Parts: sequence; C-alpha cells; structure tokens
Amino acid sequence: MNAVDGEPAWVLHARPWRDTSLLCELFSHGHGRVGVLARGVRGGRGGRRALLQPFRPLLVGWRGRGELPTLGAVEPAGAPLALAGEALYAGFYLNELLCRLLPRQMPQPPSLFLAYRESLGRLARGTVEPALRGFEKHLLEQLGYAYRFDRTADDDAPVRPGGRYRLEAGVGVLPCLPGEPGCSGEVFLALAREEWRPEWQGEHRRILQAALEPLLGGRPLRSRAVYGALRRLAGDRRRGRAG
Amino acid sequence: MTADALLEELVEAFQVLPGVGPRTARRMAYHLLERDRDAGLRLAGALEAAMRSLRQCTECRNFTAQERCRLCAGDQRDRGLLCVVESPADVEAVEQTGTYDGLYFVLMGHLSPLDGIGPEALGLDRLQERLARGEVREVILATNPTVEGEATAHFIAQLCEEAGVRATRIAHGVPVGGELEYVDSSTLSHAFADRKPVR
Repeated sequence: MNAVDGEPAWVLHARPWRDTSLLCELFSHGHGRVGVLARGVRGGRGGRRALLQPFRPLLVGWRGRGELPTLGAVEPAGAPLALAGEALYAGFYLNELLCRLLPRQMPQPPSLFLAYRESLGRLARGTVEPALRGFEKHLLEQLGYAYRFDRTADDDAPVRPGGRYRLEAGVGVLPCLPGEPGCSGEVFLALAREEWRPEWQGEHRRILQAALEPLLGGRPLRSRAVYGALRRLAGDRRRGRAG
Repeated sequence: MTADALLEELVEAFQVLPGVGPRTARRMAYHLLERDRDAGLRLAGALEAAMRSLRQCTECRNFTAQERCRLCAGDQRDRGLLCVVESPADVEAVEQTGTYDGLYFVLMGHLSPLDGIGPEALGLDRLQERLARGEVREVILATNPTVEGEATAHFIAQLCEEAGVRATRIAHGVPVGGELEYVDSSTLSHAFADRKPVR
C-alpha cells in the first residue's frame, strides 16, 4: 500500500461518484496531478466535503496503489482564495489546463506548484491577464516547450523590436515572410521578459494559446467556451476575457 | 432471442442505474425472476410510462406529465417569489420545510466550466426571459454552497440586477442540533459573517 500524509495540494475538479463519494482531481506538491476517491463525503455532515473545493490550499493524505487511491485526512492549509467574476472563471481555466496537460501520478517540479499558487494569488488581487499569461508560459516550460521568445528559431538571431515575427508551435519564433500575419518584435521581447502591458494583452494571449494548442490535441478548452457563453448572455461587451 | 441473451440484456439494463454494477444487477434480475414477477412487470410498466410521458415543465424545468407542473399551473403559490435550485430533489427538500410558498426554477445542475456545463444547459436564457416579464420580484438563490454553486448563484444575481429584480441567497450556518465544535471552519465563518440581531 502506498500512503501519503499531509501533502500540500489543491482540488482542481471534483465530480460526484456513486451515491455518496466524490472523484477529485488534485494537484499536489510532490506527486503532480493525482485522482483520488473521497468516499462517503457527500450528504450528511460537512467536514471533508466543505474542504474539498477548488482554490483552497489543503494538506491531504491518500492510501492505495493504482489510478484511484482513496482520500484520507484533509486539513485546511490556509483560507480559500476569494475569486469572483472574471478571476473565478480564469481560475477554472487554470484548473482545466492542469487537468488536461499534466498526466496523473507524474511528479512535477516544485516550481510549477509555486507558480500555480502565485497565479491564484494574482487572480485574487484582480490582475487576471498577467496571472494567466505568466502561468501559461511557466506551464509550457515545465512541459518541455521552453520557447526562446527573444531569439529566432531558424538562425538564432536576436529578435529586433522593429521586425515582424510569428510563433510556429513546436518550433519557435520565426521572422514573418512578406504578407504573413504576425506581430512586432517588441511584443515577443516583452513576452520573454514577462512584461504584461495591457496594450499587448491580446497579442500575448494569442501567442501563448497558439503554443498550447497542439498540446491540447485539438479538443478546445471547455472553461473558455462556458465563459464566452456567460458573457454573451450577460450582454457583456467589454474587451479582455479569461483564457 | 435465447433465454441466456434475454437474461444478459436484463442484467445489462439494470446497470444504467447509478451505483449498480454487474453483480448487483444480476442479483436484481434474479430477485425479480425468482420471487416477484408481478413487481417486475409493475416496474417495467412504471418505467415505460414515466420515460414516455414525463417531461420538463416549460416554466420551472421540473419533471411533469403536463405542459406545466402542478406548482406552476396552480394558483396557490406566490408568483412573485422564485427559488432557484440545482435539482428536483432540492425542490422536494424545500417543500418538506412547508415554509416556502413561492415557485421554483430547477437548473438541473450548476455551472461547471471544466465539464463544459454552461448557461444553455441550465436554462439560464429562459430564466432571463422570465425575469424580464416582470412577474418575479425576488429570486431566492438556493444553489449548493460549493465553488460552482456559488459561481452559479453569483451569475444569476447578475442577471437579476440587470432585470431590476431583488436577489437573495439562502443563509449558510450551523445545523440545528449540531455542535459548534464539529462544524467545519468555512461554515462557521459564514455563520459569523451573516449573524443577525437576536429578537
């Protein structure tokens, strides 16, 4: 029997399982993404069920081998993050990215766990776009796609602020041929420095999403679609969006 | 079809129920065949009738055999009060209290971005139309106190604000007969934040 105790973790997603249990996807400090069965937590007394919510730092334990160990003790490791509105949907988006891109039971470097925590903190403070872009960039690096945004991929030349470039997923930054869509070198250099200025927000989002796209295997992210549908219904015409 | 195939089909059919695996399904099938064929036929009849004639009420989305359910079609209830719940079981739970005399709106779930459950699946466009009709003066949000349930309540409250309808959220607190010591910290902090004067 494998036993883990007092492991720092976040709930990424929980769905009902049979009559009284929950199937939880956790993102843990030392074991990466882990699926656990929380038996008998639904119905009756709150206790663990109240804690098994996204965006709340936890210390958890689990027992058992295989794909679905059983959840043991759960303790709070801090107050839940107060995410509301756009920041909340951005948080769901981060959770979906991790559920989709991290294989279960594969340990991740501690820096990814820290980056997740840091990003949720930024979301709670209301800086949504920097939180999302910073996390996407970090996640790409951890997944083995450490793009150099300040040098071209074909001849390793420095990106010039005045030039025009595009990102080729899986390859890197390439200079645009005449007539090819792309954006200015300045935007790529800012991305390399993680300088998230509002005027480059849209371009940074499109570049990082183009980089993530092939890793998602052509299946669009659901949280993004749901957020779009909510905004349409609420008649919200503001620019900027989660994901 | 051979006897074996019929039996296998029955066992397989039972497995569509939540929590019923192959072993339980086989036990159910043998029980009905060996001991209670009449009950088996009644079950088959009831299932067939319910599956064919039950549909969702055009107003509250709860299950009904008519166009509109008993509560929505009747004139006994306060039509200005609308309680939003996640499931038909929640309607039953609120009805059990005997203290609520308004109408319901059943979402049949909650917003769940990671499962792709958005506003259309919950009928929020219909709820929005209903709020615009002006009959409802207060929406009581009784979704579950989970992150997704709160997200759902928050979004509906936004729709209410746009429609100029008052939105309230049911209180979260210490269960009656419970002991403070055993109440989880989030419930207890909610209970403190929403405390009220003693009369």
